[in-house]
Amino acid sequence: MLSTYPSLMTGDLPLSRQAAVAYAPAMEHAPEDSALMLRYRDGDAAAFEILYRRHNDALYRYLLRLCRHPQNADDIFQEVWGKIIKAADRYRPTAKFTTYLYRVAHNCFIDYLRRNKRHTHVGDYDADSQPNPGESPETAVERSLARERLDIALQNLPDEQRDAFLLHEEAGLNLDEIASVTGANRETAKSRLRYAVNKLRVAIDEPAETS
Amino acid sequence: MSNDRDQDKCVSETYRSLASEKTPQHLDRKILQMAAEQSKRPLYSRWMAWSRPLAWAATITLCLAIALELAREPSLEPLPAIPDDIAYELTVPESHYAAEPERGTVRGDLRKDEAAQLENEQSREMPAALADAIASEKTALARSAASQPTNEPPAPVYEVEEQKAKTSVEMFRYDDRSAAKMTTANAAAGVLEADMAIEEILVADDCPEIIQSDPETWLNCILNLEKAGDEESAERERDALIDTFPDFKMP
Repeated sequence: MLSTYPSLMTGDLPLSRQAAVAYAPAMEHAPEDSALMLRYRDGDAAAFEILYRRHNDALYRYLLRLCRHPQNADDIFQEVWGKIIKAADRYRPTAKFTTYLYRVAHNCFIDYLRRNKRHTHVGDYDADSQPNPGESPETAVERSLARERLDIALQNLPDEQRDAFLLHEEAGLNLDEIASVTGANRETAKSRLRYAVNKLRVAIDEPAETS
Repeated sequence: MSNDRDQDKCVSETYRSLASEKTPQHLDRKILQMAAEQSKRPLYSRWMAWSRPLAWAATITLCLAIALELAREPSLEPLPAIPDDIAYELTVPESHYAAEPERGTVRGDLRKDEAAQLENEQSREMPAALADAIASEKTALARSAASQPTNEPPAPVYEVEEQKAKTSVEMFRYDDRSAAKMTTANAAAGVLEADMAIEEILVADDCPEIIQSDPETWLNCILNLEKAGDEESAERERDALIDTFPDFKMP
């Protein structure tokens, strides 16, 4: 857990978002994820579906914002789960399933970058923002502008910093796990995350300069 | 610090309000179908699951077996040295033994017990050789006695020495059991006694043929003749020695 980046209170989030948060109580899910994967290894397809439903949206958003192109994100998404499925025979719960899953995803993204060096294209996609039902119009507009600024700032982040931020937010990984997934040491992962958060905070706090 | 945390929380909340995308349904269907098809295939069987630990067990067992086999091989220690007394006896000149030139020397590569056994066999055979030597000497002496004038008395020295030779031969008449019990020291003593018997035989008038086979023993015989006062025989034997062994250096 980050010392300067507090954990989220899951009670503050809408119910639809709470299930997708693999954050503070991540260690409680880890054995269950591993157990589901082991059951799938033994032939239980329903266990895999439960596991898939638990992580598919977060992984998709991670790849979407990492690639900045929906078509490429779809391809990498299929590749990641294909590898998970084929490697089910050799699966051993030596680490958290989330760490394992996002390590595979990170590596697939790196392979994608190497294959498409000359064809890197930053696609424009519209962040799908849904206003909260109980918000006032002014608050909704302000919130929408903040999301746009954050989205633009996130796209402008260096790949390593964006990757660290998304792993923390979408996958709920701590610094050690982020370092393990990205292949860096703990201090490097910490500095990348810190820089990313600072830049995003500046983007949110200074609307007059970016508008 | 708390302000930073609040701002970090604000960033996180803002992001979470932004990130609301869901996986496209066609992707969900495709991946779940792929997982279902994979689950229908025969998964890692129980036997395959044991293949790796069995391979490890076989490798470890093989390594242990090889290590134990190497540890079981006897260490190659150097053979003990032959004692000096046996080594001395093993280097007795060949001329001391009749008929077989190779007798009297033992190969250096023989072990101690084999050297003792060979020594025992040579000791047992020695009396036979001595007996043969004495027999041939008797024959020669008988011939020379027949050729001599009858009024000449027989050489008293020969009779005395013949008796001594007989005694020497009897000393070497061992039975098989005695020979088996004879120790290495006794074998060496037997060899020494055989040498003494040969020296006694050499005191006869003429040197027998068996003595003439080796120039050194022949020379000893000649010296003994000279000591006994038989200078004519000594001179005759010396001339014969020079003729037979021209390369032999007379002292």
